[in-house]
Amino acid sequence: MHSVIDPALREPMAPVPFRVGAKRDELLDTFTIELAPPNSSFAFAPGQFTMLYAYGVGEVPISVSGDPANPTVVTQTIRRVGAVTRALGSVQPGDVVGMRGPFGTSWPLEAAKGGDVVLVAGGIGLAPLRPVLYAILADRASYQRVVLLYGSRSPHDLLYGGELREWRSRFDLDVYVTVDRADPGWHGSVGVVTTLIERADFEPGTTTAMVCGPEIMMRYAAETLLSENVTPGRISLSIERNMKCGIGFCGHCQYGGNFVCSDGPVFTYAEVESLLRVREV
Amino acid sequence: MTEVDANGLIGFRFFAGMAPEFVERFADAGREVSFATDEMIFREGDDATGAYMIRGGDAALEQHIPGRGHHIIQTVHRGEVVGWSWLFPPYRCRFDARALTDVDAIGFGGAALREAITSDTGFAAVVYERWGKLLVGRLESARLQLVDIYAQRD
Repeated sequence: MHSVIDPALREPMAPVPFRVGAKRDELLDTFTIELAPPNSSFAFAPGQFTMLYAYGVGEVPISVSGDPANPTVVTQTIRRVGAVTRALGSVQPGDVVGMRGPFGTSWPLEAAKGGDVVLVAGGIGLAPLRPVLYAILADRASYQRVVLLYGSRSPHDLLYGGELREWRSRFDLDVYVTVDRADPGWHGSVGVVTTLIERADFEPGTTTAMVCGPEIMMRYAAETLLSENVTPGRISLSIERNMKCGIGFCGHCQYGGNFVCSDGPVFTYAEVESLLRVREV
Repeated sequence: MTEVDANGLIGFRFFAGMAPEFVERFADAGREVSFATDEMIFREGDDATGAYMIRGGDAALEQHIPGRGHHIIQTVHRGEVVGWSWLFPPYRCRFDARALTDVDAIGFGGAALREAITSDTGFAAVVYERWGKLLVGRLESARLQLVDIYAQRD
């Protein structure tokens, strides 16, 4: 994984004010905000995150989920799980939030070129992978087969429904969606996302897999990918820990010998395999 | 129902790496079958007469919950196998299986397979290994599903 150093890192602890341009509800507990960067310029690599600051409440790490080719908008999809995300959920267009970053490592898009790509997303884990899809679709000829495997708890928990339909209709993208619990209107697959891996068509020897979701799902997904002969060094996971400073100073997100905020959040399976089963990490 | 050619089985993942003589045994126990959309492939409590490998279409493993109708536990698709109760006493189906679309499948007769197992320990090892793997996969999926559905969000 490579780090992308941004000029913003010169003042890494000072939040920069970003104005909220748009906000929309994705799910009952999940929303997306679009932020306008000062000078209309924001560069990030897919997989990176920012520290979003709800003034007076606190900061949270949020992955960038928008198009890396568009520097004029920072898109972030957020689930309301605590005080800060609830405060961010109450912002309206025109309000201002603080932002630091982007921080962290990115998905291995360059290394994936020339081979197959398998994206495995669970729940809100699709958000950090969406920039990967945007980047691949903008440079589609550089990749062979591209497969998106997406699982959620229920049909009501599927993110980006409109885009999912659009992606499924493309001939250059294989999209498989499954839910853990169907409702009467659901006509798709039922079962965990790992079951889709065996169903998908890809060439393991050339495949780069990028996996994002709950840690237990990533562990099982990685094991299934390994059983399909994808190599550990070509399986990437996005690890989540309690990130505070974002630049590897404070130690809150220590993960074995790594800091997730600066050495991650994207790691190869080979890098974290020994840590995934350590309960104390 | 039509008899099955062993060559028609080789391309499916379930038979990957299996010795040709054992594939032949499965072919001997197999018949081509089809189910119309919504047709029951088997019902919970039925005699477990065999297993089915889906060649085309989609099916669902379901549990009937009194007062709440059918609850889909998992869907199965091309190349996947449903049915393991034929392998263990009392040979009764534990779940419902229903065709979600028109389904083409190969049905493997449980009695014929059990007879082959008792007379050939090599074949028995293969059968228990394949169905063991199938059961472990289902168990892991079910556990992950439970964690996903019932675990508290932080």
